[in-house]
Amino acid sequence: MNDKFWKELLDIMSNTIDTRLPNDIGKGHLPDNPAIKTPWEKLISLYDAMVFIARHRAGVGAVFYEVLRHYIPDYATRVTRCCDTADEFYIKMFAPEPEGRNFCKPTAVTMDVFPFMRGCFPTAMSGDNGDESLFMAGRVNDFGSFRFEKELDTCPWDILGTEICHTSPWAGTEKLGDSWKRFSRDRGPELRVTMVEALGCGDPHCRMIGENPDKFPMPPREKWDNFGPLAAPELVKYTPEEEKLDYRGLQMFREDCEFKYRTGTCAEYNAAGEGGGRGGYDVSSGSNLGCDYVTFALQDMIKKGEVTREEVSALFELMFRGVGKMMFLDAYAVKGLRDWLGVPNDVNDGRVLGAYIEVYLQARKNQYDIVAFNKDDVIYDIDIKRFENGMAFMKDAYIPMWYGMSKTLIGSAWSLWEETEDVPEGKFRIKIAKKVDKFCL
Amino acid sequence: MFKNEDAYRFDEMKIFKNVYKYDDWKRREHEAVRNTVGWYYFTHHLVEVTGKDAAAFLDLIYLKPISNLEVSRARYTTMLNEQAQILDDVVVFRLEENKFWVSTLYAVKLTRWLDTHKGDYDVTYEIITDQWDMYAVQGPKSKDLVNALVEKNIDDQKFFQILDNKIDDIPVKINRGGFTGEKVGYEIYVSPAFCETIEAKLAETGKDFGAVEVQEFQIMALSLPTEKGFYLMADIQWANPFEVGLADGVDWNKDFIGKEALLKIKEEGPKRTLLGFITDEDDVHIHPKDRGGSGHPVLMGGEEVGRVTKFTYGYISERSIGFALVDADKAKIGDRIVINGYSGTLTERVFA
Repeated sequence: MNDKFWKELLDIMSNTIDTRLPNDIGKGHLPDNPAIKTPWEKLISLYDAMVFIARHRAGVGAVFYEVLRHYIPDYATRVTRCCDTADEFYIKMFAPEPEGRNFCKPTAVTMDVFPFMRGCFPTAMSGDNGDESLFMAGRVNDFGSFRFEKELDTCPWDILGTEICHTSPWAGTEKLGDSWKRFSRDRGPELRVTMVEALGCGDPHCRMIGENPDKFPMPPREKWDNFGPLAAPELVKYTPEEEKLDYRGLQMFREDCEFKYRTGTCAEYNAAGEGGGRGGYDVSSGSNLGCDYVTFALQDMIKKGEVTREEVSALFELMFRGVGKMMFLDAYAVKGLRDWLGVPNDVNDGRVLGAYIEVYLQARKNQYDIVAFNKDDVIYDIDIKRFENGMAFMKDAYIPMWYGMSKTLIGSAWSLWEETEDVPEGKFRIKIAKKVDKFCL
Repeated sequence: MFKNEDAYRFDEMKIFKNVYKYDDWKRREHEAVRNTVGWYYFTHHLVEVTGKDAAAFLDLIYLKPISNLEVSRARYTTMLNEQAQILDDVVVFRLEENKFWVSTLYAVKLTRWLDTHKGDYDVTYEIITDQWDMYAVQGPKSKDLVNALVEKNIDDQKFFQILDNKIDDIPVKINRGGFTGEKVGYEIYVSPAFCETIEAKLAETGKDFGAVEVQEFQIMALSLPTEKGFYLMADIQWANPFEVGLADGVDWNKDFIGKEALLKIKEEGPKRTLLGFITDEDDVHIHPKDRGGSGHPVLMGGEEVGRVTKFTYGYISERSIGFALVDADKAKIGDRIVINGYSGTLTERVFA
């Protein structure tokens, strides 16, 4: 038989999709159906998918921080760099035009920020929108022009280390507050935001408090040092640990809230996005929190010639390849994943890892096409825009991680790599198959 | 740098100091409105409704009649859905025979609602919030302060009447009304191009009347109106007008959205009622709906009878005050309640 025969046969094999589908899996899942579906018809509820994606992204973010720590070993310098580069991001997003995209304007509509709410304090509410959607259950204990207090009981990002706990009050809240003030024509009181408790530090809550410096005077502090102290600690409203909420305590999962997140100004939406604002699922599945502060800082270092893109990519590859191998080193981890995905007992090939990747992509609402799904080959074309979501280094992290996973989840004969030929525009292609490589890593 | 040994043990502190009672800054702003005059930026959303059928269309949309409003007069009313649940509460101004302003805090939601019901009505509507700033001037000396600013004397201006006027040749509209419960209070509508001038005039001229600029959101939106029994949408959203005392003045002879459901509620009687409450202590930790979520449960004998919609402080009564939407057949004025472990009493909605 000639080469042409074999090529045609291989093409046929590589385009076979076994009968485990509907073929259009991945399309029209959320919000049409409150679940995602594995290749073997196992349903994963919307709630479980949200928990999975929030925690998964936090785990990835934790490794991103390790990369940053390698390049900037000093804690204060590192957090300052994160604050500086996050400033730029928030200005670009929220500052009035032409400096920024004036994102306060649509936020004022979706969050029902009233025109007379002058100053920085709407940041407590718009921040709370993100917090609820980002699986940070909690409450606003005080909401005034000169002081606000947010108390959060859960944080998927509590494994990242504390750099993010320093950066968030500065960039995500105080600088966002500045944009709100500019949105109200530079009128209204300013606020200094302090993270007095943080789950990432081991505290019982995340407690973010904004205090107006004129009304609550305090000595100046370094930009990166946002943990305290407060001017008025006696005003804190503390929720005891036994009354703390878990993820199920999010308003969009609570019956007494009619399964809707609701602000004090009566903006409402549910997890699927019905109502005035973006759905909780859209926000949580699309979030880069955990990675974004790091990528801003690393991109800034590359831009300024402090490090090259290739060096950073190489380090990501090193880190995440090891992470991938570690994930399924133990038999219980393999068993747990197979149970979760509903993998048939007689399947132990590329489809197991493929199923895991599909669940990740579906949970992230990342469109993908199945090119092949059989015992020999699993091939996906993945929408690159959603995959990267504006963040650099995502492929640098995920492809080596999935590669590493293939070695322990399935076996050392298996591999995962990116294919670059004949890939549709706007996609990147990954292939899972057996591969002999005398120099593999 | 903040050190670990500086950390507070909030779990041991358990102070829950009242964020209003000891705050002289807030007290000064609140008391200025009650005793002299307070002024503040209080711009709401404005939707301008025009057209031959504007009055008839607004009659359909709102609970109270709009077509019988005289030109220059205004009316407070609610907007219901088909289940007679309150979607919005607004003030409708009739500026001309076929031109109305609707003052709301939810203009985008309102216009979407109007879109769904416009049908064949000859009417157009537009959000004009960017064209008009509004300053509230409230308190016993508000008339004197406004008179000191405007070209035409406002002594004879009636409550809920909006009239053209001028301040230093700047065209303004003066509405007599407000959200503080003061007998005398005004609202100045002016182009944003002149807002700095108007603010400077209010600050300078106001000195002669002991005027104070109110800057605190919690004073303008919570303590002042709550003390006099005024609502926020957090108090009344999704309730029906009978539950929250807003069914007076309904013209049952006209059609309006939610009429059929509201008639049924009228026959059966409301199942819930919005009441006031006071707490025995002031240094407490109570979470109301107006800070998001569903509000703390209101308990009687261990049973939940309702939810807290609003919680603030009354500087006249010197009490912590709030509203709660409670089951009408389980709770009444005078009943003792427990909220998050704190004792209190159900009251009328007006505290001063």
